[in-house]
Amino acid sequence: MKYRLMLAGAVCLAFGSWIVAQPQDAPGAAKGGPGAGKGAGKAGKGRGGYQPPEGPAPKTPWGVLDLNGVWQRPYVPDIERANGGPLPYTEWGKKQFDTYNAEEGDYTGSCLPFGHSRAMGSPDPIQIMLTPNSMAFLYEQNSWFKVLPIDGRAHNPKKVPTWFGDSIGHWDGDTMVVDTTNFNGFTRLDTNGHPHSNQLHMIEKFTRTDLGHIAYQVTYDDPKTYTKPIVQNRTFTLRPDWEIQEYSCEENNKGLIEGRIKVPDYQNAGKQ
Amino acid sequence: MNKRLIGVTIFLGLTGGTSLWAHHSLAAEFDQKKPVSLTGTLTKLDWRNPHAWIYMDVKNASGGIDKWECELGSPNAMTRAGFTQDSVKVGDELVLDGILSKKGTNICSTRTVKGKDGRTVLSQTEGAK
Repeated sequence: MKYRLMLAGAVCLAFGSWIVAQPQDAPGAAKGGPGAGKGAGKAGKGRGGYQPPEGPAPKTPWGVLDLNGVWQRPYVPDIERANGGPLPYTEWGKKQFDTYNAEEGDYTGSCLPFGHSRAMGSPDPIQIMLTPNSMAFLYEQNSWFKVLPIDGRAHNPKKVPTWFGDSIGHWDGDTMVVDTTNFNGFTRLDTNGHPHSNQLHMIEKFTRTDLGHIAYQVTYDDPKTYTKPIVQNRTFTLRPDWEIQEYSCEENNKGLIEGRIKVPDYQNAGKQ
Repeated sequence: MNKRLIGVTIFLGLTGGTSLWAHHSLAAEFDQKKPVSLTGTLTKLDWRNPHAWIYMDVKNASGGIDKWECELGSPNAMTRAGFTQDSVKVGDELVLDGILSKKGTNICSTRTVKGKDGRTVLSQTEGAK
């Protein structure tokens, strides 16, 4: 009994100090675990006091702002905290979030595709490759990639809906605008499981503000899930000292292999 | 009081930091309300994506050995934080702080691993020093 009282007291003291010590991007108690705060908008100096190169924003030989490079992004596992307030759910959207339980089925733990939003908010870097007519995202997360045309063509409505959606891009002055639709609706926007439907329309804006940074803005427009568009801003930091590494999700995924992580019934999720 | 708690003391001072979990939702497998601290001997480090795993022998109250296995972050992220698969070696005496699995015995998710000198030798939340 004595030990139990001591333990209980110590737990209270330590848990209190732990909560106080939590930075905004430390693991949270919400749906999926890690949470992100408003500060998630800046990758900033990075670990170890990294300082990105300084100078004006470079241009490509063909005259547009150069987005090429390996970029460190802020980890955004919780877009609600990054939003600074509650998300504007529709009734359907609120139900999707309230009934989400990763313990009953975790699609990313099962190595199914993260989807574009969750891959853009992951903590590992991304490489952007830019040509006059196309752009590619090389996500280190699970070694995925996305290639999109930036030659002025429109979305092809005949494409099959996909995990990462169908993207097209165009220049609006010095800003590259990437427009993505045709999602299959099987993914979540972030690690905490904030939902979206197959009506999601993502609009991303990439502006090379100087040699070391990209200003990134993402808009989630999904009238089935949210009553108004959600707009968030982040800063990407150039990492010429990094390279994209191979990332096999399947190789040593012990939680899934040994049955502790469940594969969700993702194809029927959200149909109710 | 569970005898196992003598060898496996509840760790009370989890520190904050940017977690390097991204591959899956932590809540799918681990319980953040159940921190654990293990003192034991390294038997294996499996340095492969999406998560490295650390294996330790931990003495229990009966004088026997409990075999523990704990998930780490991705080798990619830990490499960028300054850790390598040579940061520890089999036989090292280590102190591991983490959280318990919801679904398995002697399984946890690691936050930090320290050597006998208190130096962090592996971590999901800190860079190598």
